[in-house]
Amino acid sequence: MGRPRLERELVAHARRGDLDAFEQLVREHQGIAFRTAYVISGSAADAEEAVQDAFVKAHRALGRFRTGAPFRPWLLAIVANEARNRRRSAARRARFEVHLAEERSSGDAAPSPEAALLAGEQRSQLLAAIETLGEEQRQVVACRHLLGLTERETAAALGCRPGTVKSRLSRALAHLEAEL
Amino acid sequence: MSELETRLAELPVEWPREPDVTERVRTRLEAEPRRRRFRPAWAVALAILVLGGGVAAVPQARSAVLRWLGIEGVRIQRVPEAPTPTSSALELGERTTLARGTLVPRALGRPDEVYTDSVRVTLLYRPQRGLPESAQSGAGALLSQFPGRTDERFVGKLAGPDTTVERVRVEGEPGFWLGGAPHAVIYEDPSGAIRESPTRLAGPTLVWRRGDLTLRLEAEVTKSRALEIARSVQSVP
Repeated sequence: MGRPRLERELVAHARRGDLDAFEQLVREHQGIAFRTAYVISGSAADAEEAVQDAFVKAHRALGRFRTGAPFRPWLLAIVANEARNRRRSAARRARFEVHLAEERSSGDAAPSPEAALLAGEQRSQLLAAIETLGEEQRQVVACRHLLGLTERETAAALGCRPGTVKSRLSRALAHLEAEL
Repeated sequence: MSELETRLAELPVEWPREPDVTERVRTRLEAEPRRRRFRPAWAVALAILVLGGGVAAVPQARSAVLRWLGIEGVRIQRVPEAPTPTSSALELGERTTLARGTLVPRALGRPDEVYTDSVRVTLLYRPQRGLPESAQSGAGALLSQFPGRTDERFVGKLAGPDTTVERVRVEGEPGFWLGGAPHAVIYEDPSGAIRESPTRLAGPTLVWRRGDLTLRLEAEVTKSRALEIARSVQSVP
């Protein structure tokens, strides 16, 4: 994976005021930044604003970014803060909801209608179980398993320690197992 | 990975369509005035104390909180080990001019520089006679003032075992004096989440209330001199 080196160079260039380099960082990270903000704010509109502001703030803060450190956890911490601030000021407390995509038939290996129905039911059960989780546990499950963030990135996004991510996640998973 | 985790990872989650913010971010960055970084030559000698893992270093220090005490807008936490700074940069916001109503200590006179961010106004005094250069901030004195509502963001202070924390009164209003070993300054929002600001070390500091404002003076001076300076504040007519 050639990414870390490239990212390092981009950050170094962006730090020296190269807006093209920063733009590339934005392009590469805006997707995960947006979804993380969405998990936290529960609103796509808030998430969109949060991501924009976060990138502007991140740009200002680049001088303080520790050279060689991974960019994503650092960025996600900023994004998540923006998302939380928006959510708080919005008074309404949107809760992020998991929606499933329409089942795509996967070409010629399409499952039988029965198998598809069964899989669909299992997913609905899982979804219903996720709905019973408290906010914190839902967010940790979403970050780790739905967004695929690392433990460190999840900790940055949720503003807690990696150890807390671990324990919160294991409680959440135990709860889901029990629900299922 | 457990079966449950695999099932979660394979859920075909439908996320809201992600917006492309590159252009908007670019436009905003291009429109930004050239930021005035507070980095005068005389501040270059700041100790470079970049240790620990960036943002992650702060929560580690926070986990060890034994107790906290504070006045509106400032939270002082006692931690068992001297906190690890992640930055030596001051974050004072944009350079501005002295506005009417700003509190200025007569004992120090007009500040050399004035900064503001969305919440605070900070007066900066260069090192001078009676105000030695702080090894932590590089300045002679920093005086910040901000509305000390508890729903505003906090200035968090992490005080290690060698930092002394004393309750004081400034003209009848409560305050704290942090002396001894340097303490760490962080910003956190009301939920306790650490803002993006890194932890910085600060030297002797007096924080106190004045009406609905919280003031914070950081300077290499004695407690009694700090109190004298604090008592001398008056607003710019």
